[in-house]
Order: sequence, then structure tokens, then C-alpha cells
Amino acid sequence: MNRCPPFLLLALWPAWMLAADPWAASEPDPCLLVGTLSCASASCHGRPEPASRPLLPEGAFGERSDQEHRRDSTSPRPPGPARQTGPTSGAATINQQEYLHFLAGDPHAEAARRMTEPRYREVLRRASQYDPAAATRCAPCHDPLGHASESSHQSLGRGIGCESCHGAARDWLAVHYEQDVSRERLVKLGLIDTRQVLARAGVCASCHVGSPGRDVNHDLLAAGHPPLLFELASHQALIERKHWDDTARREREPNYEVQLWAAGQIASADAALSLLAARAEQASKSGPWPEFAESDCRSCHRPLRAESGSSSGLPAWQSWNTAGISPLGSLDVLRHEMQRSLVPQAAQVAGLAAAARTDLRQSVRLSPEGVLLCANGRPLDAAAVLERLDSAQPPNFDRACQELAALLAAGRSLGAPSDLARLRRIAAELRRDAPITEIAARLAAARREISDNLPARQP
Amino acid sequence: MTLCRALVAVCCACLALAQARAQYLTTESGCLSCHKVPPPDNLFCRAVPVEVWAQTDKHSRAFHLLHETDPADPAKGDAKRTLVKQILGFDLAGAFDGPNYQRLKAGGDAETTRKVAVVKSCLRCHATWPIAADERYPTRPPAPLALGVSCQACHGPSARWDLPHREQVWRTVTPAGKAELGFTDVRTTAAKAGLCTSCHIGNLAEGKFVKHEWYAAGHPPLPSFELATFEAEMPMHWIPLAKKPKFEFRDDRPADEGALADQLDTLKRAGVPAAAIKPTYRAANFPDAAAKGLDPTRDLPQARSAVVAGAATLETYARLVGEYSRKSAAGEPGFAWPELALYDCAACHHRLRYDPALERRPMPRGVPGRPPLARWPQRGALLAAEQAAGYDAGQEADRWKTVRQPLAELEAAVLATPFGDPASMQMPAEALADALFQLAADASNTAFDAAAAHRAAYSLTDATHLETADYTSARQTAWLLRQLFAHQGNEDARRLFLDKGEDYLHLQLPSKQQGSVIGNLYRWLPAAAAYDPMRFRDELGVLRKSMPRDP
Repeated sequence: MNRCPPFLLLALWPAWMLAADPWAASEPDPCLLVGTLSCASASCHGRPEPASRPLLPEGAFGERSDQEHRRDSTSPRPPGPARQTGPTSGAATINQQEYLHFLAGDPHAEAARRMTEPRYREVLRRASQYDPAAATRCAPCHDPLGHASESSHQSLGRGIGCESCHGAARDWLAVHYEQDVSRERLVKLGLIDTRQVLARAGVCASCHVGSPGRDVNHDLLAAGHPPLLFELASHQALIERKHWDDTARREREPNYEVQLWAAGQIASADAALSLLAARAEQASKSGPWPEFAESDCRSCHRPLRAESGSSSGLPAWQSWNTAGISPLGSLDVLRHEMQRSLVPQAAQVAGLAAAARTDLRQSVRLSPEGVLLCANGRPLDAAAVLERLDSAQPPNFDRACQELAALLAAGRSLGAPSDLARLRRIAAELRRDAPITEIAARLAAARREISDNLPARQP
Repeated sequence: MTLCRALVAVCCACLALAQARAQYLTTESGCLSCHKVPPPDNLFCRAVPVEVWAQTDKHSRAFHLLHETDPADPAKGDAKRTLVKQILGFDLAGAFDGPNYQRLKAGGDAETTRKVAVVKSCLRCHATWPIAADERYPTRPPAPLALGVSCQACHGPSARWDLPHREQVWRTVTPAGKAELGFTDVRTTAAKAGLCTSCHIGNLAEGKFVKHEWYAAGHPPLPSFELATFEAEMPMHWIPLAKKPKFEFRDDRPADEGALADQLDTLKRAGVPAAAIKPTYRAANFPDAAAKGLDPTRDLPQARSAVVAGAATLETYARLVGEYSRKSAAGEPGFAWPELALYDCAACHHRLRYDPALERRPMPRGVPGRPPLARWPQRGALLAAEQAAGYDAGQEADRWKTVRQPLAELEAAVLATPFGDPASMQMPAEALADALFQLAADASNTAFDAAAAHRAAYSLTDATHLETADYTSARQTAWLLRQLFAHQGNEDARRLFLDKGEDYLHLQLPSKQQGSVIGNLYRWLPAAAAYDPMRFRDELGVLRKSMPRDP
């Protein structure tokens, strides 16, 4: 911090001076929801396609390669190279058709339908055997509209709708199409500015990592819920047909992918800390404690091996969600407490988690436009991220995955095709559980090489 | 005042008695000299069992495992010492006075005292140094450490019974009478199972317990324990009762009582209570059998071990859980909660993977995501209940209820919160252990004939009856089945659960002294990781179809 005095100012930059409060993401007030039908009208975000273009393009029914679905659920999905959303100018093809694109190519549109699948029912059946209230825990993420319909006594539809991510629209609906309306004003009225990477990451992380009331704990995981392993840049790359167009932005901001990765890391850690604080507070009442979902899955879930390797026998804490953030003293204190014994002191943990979350938020530097900055005040770029990864931490599967995702993000923006091919080979090694020391060595070599080539490619 | 003196005198006497009982012969050459070449006219022990023990039994190598250099392969010695250092956090030699591992350090600073205490806790199982002998033998072991788990480790400190047990009339002393002199009863199946499992599972009262911290640091996992299989693999250095010819004193006494006077005098001088000397071996060991029409001398030894030890093994485990919970709930230092070694290893230690076959797999009993109790020790206990009830469905339900109720209470307490609350686990665990103690005794008092072996085997093939979800329970089942079929021909029984000759469950134990426990991990741990419960259930189904329901 003392290296870069201007940052002090930025750190204290009042929220109203920023384009939007990047931490505003929270569950929308159900009474302020207007429902998706309003957004999706033909004159707004649901303008029909011209007859020459198919409404539902190839792949819209999920007939993608099976490989996508068969992947080891514990490994990160390797992102592909960023797809250009439109053949020419994205704005021409997406503008006012956002809802159709959402329906056709966004997995979130299928959230409600997923709840009717046998696999979903089976997980619910198993979870309900011992927790009769298990069914009520699904809706906040899988069916936020249905969930809100119940509490607000209005029919808002089912599944995930526009307002689930963009914020409850009652107060800004009639304003947001006005000419020259400012983003600041809309944000004040409740719009979530998803153009800001950190605000966007916060929305995603509230479900994909969790938040109080949206908790995939170990009881649910053991009943069969897939593990939550969130990384924003690669998750976003998986949405083949996005309902927004960022072509121009990618051209303007060569570090856009890296910014996404970094924002995902911060938002994941932030969400994990808020969830931990809530879990620890619940521990004294009804919640399970210790909560195994706080730990690195692989600390325990690995077959017993004949090769003797010495360990403490205690699991590592949050190795996935805290892998990519800058060192924080309060986080180290919390980690020490969480790893000190199998049953950490819940009351103490609740306080430490809240303190670490405050510190984390204070340590984040943003430009007034919401761009993540490094300590020297420049926008966080690939070189800075790769430098941050170059730490002397012992190798660990989760960290290796996050590191790989960072390299892929840098590679997608600025790398050569050979870089991506090389990283994909490392991803394959990770999936087949190759020895982690070997993977760490290959990652380090890839990182050095990509770093060395960066200056030539950086605009 | 007089009362106080009397009390002190009684206490001193008790202490002296306990001390006397814990007195060892510090050389065991005496055992070896007789048991190597027993008198030819001795029908009771006419084989040459001690050679079996000295040359093939792994127990004799238990201490060498910790440090000894193999002259043929010095790297092996280094590997052992490195592993032991990794587990303990210090060199084993650091706790010993002098280079030859013969005597622990006495006195010294707090760190030395700590090291000595830790090493002693290893020696409870890796040598002959029971807690009861600590006072008399504080730094020098009761029996040479080099002998490992020696004769006296299992049969008891022999200073007081060495002489009387050489007399044939010793056979007519009750197990309780022998115990007065420090002799451990290893003929009673439940007692023997308790003795073996005190190390192979754990026994806190005897200071024997491998905690998770040691496993994590590299102590090989203790495999599940099935008495009949482990006896056969030791291999046996004794002759099962059914295979002994009709030996002297079994059913009657020599007509000439006068000739026995010297023998009886030896017993009396050694302190055997007169009331403990019975007319015959049968009367001393099986007092109720005749009234029940039983003849234990004709029992199938494998079936008896398999079924009775089923209850006794779970009893040891329940006792361990109860004792640990009690100490932990009371806040005793060194008994932090939770202790992961008390739970089912496989519940956590499995590969994370997605496999559609897993969705069809029946879920194990319990709450998903909460570490349950170890499942394998439960596999054989139901057999003991069925045997005790004479395979009468009504009686069996009643008999099993005494076990099932505390077991269900204990399971509920373990699963209520992650790891369970020790204060609420202690009572049901101890009640369960007590119920199983009684169950083992009741099951012992039944006939173990071919029909009993058949019924037990038929019951085990019912995969819906008991869990087969984890590898360890499956291996336990397979071991039990092989033993229950053994009387029909060992070779046939050994072919069970082989797939085209391949031992896919890895039932083979690393027997004989050259069999390495660590080396065996490279075989059974992959077998455990690759275990397919559906395949095992299918195989049980095929076996069941090939068996008639009734013997």
C-alpha cells in the first residue's frame, strides 16, 4: 500500500463516486420484482429474429459434444478460446434479442427444468431423508423466481430470470430505456451493474460459491449435489451463446479475461467468507459444525495410498476459493484457526471471517469505472496476475486448477494458440490425477514462458 | 485405626498380588526348550508348535519391524527407521539407553520423558510391555524386546505358572484359577478374540491405540480383523481341540489318585486355589456343556472362531469407542475430540469421481456426509446373535434386540452432528459392549457343527441383510465365508472369491515372516479403491443360489 499512495485514495473512494457499488449484489427484494415477461416483450429484449436467421441456432437444444457433460465433476472445466458472439458486429445481432439468446444458449435458462430431472430428484430424495427441509434449500439458486413468487404472492414464473442477476426492476424499469439515463442513477434504483467485473462476479458467486441462505453444505454434497468449483473466466467461456456482446470491449481491454479471473477470485473469497461467518453463527443453533464443505475436498477424499506421505491428518481450509487473492494477514489468522483442529471454535471463527471479509474488501482497488487495479495504480493485467501466482506455496490440486485458469485467461487474451494447447494438456493431467508436484512444475514452466512472451504481445 | 490398618493391609496385599501376577520370566528360553520337543507321551501338545511360532509367525518380528537392519538389504532398515521417525517425530533410538534397543532411558528432562512414554505406547503392541508390568519393569522390558510379541505377551507373565503348567493336572484347573497365577485364557474363543483385537483394533485400558495422527504420518492402516482367518494365517502354533486325540484328564482321571499327589502339591505351592482344580479338563473348561448336551471337543474350530469372534470383535470396538468418548467428554488430556481413527476410514478416504454406476448403488446406512462408525466390525456380530438364538427367527429377533438397541442409539449419537457428541456416545457404546460380551458368551455355549457352519454361511450370503457397500465389510464377509466352508475342504474354500484365479478382493494376508505389511498395502489398497459393491453382491447371490436353505 505504501508503494502506491494514490491507492489510499482509491481504497477510500466513496461508493457513490464509483460507477456503482461493486459489493451491492444481494438477493433481490421479491416485492420489487416485475417478472421476466415484462423484459422479454418483442419490443424490448425479445425482438424476434429476422426470418433469414434461425431463432434457435444449432446447439440450442443441448446437442453439444458429450464430452462437456461427461467431465469429471471435481475438475475445473477447461475454458475454450473466447467465442465471438456475432459474425460481424455483435450489437447488430444481439441488441434487443437478449432474452432469446438467453433462452437459446445460456445454461441458467434451464435451471427450472433441471429440477424435474431424475438426477435432481435423486439428490433431493437422499438429502430429504435426514433433512425434511432440504427441498426449501434448492429454490434460492435453482428457482429464484418461484421462490420469490411464493413470498411476494405474485406470479413471476419459474427458474432464473433477468432480475435474478440484474436486480429487481420495479424502480428502474420505466427509467432504464430513457435516453441519456446514467448508470449511476440506475444503480441507485436497484440495477446491478454487471458490466463491472467485480459486481458481475459477486452476482455469480452468490450462488456458485454460496451466501447465507444459499448454502451447498457437505450434507447436500454427500447426497450427490455436484461440488461448487467456481471460476468466473472459464465459467463464462462455457456459455457458448452469450446474451450480451463484449466484442468491442475485448478489443478495447486486452486484459478483460484476466480481469474476469481476478474478479472471480475476489468475489469467491468474499462469498466464501460471508458463508463461513453465517455457518459459524448457525453452528451454535441448528447448523452442522464443523462444516466439511469449508475444507479442501481432497484433504480427506483420496484413496488410502501405500506410499507413505506424512501429513498432519487435518484438512486444508478453502483451498479453492482463496487460491487467487493477494496475501491478507487476517485471512492467515482465520486459516490458522480453521486448520488448527478438526472442530474450530465457531464463535471465534464467525468473528475472524467477518474481519477477514472487511479486510478483503478494503484491500481491493478499483478505478472509478470499476476496473481492478494493482498496487501501482495501473489496471491489473496478465503480467501482474502471473507474478502474483509465482508464490512459494506448496502444491495443491485446487490451487493448481486456479492457476491453470489464470494462465488460460491470460492465454485467451494475449497468448499464442500453442500456449492454449499446452495448457489443455496440463488440464488433462489434472483430470487424471497426475502427481501434483509434476503438475506444479509444468504449470510453473508454462507460466514463465507465457510471462516472458507477454511484453511483446501487450498492446 | 484397626480398620485403617486392615484396609492398608488389604490394599498392600492386592498390590502385591497384582505385582506377583505381572511377574515375567525375563528369558523365554525355558518355553522354547520344552515346546520344541514335547514329551512323546504328551497327547495334549505333541506337535512342535514353537518352531511354527519362531520361524513363521510375524508376531515374533513385531519389534524388529521398527528398526532392525536386514543384513541382506540395509536400505530396508533405513526405510523402517525413517518411517518410524516420521510417525513419532523423533528417532526411535532417542528413547533408548545405549545403542542396542534393550533399555529405555530413565529420568532425564521433560522431552526425554515424553519420548519414552510415546515409545512405550508403541511397545504395548510391538513387544511385550503391558501397562500392568510398568511398575515392576519401568525401563527394562519384562521380556526381551527382540522377541516382539512373545509367548508371555499373549499367554501371560509366566513366573508363577511356569512350574505348575508343566504338570498334566494343570489341564483340570479352571481358566479363572489359571488367571490367578497370571495365565491368560486363550482357549475360550471370546477371550482369545479380545486378546488379539486389543492390538488389532485397540484397547485404551491397555494403552493400545493407533490414532489418526499416526496413520496420517505413515503408520500402515490396521486391516480389518477376522479371528479364524488370522489364526489360520499366523499360522496356528496350537492344535484345535477337535484335532487333539483323547488326551489325559480330558474326560476322566487316572484311577490312581496317589500318583497325582506330587503334581497337585506343585499346583498348591504355586498358589492355585483348591476350588479351581476340577476332576477333568471338560469340567474345568466346559462346566455347562454336558447339561446342554454339547460336546465342545467336537466343534469345528473355524466356525466357532468366526461366529463367536464376530460378537467379540465388535465388543472390542464398542469398548474402544465408549472409553475414548468417556475420556474425551471428561476432558482428559491426550483425548481430543474427535479422534478420526474411531470412524469408518472408507467414508472419507475414497476417490471423488462421477460414475453413473454410483447412482444405482444402494446408499449405505446413515446420514450422507457424516462420518459413521466403522462398519466392518458389525459384519460378524449378527451371526453370533443368530447362533445364540439357534436360528429361531423369534428368539433371534429378541437376542439381536439387546445388541441392536444400543447400536442404534450409538449410531444416532454419532450421526446427530458431524463426528457426534462424545458425552452422548459414551453410554450406548458401553451398553453395546456389555450386550456383546453377553452375546459372545451365549453364542459360545452352543454347538458348532457342520449345520451351524452352513446356517452362518447361508446368512452371510444374504446381501440385503447386512451392508456390503464398503470394501472392508466385503472382505470381512469373504473371509468369514471361506472359514465357514473350510471344514468341507480348505482348497475349495480358498477358491471362493477368486475371479479366474485372481484374488480381486485381495483376501490374502501377508503371512509368514517374509510377508510385508507395507508391501501388502500396494495390493489391498488398490483393491479397496477399485471395489465394486454391485459385483460383490452379485457374487454373493450366485453363491446363495448354489446352497440349500437348510443344512
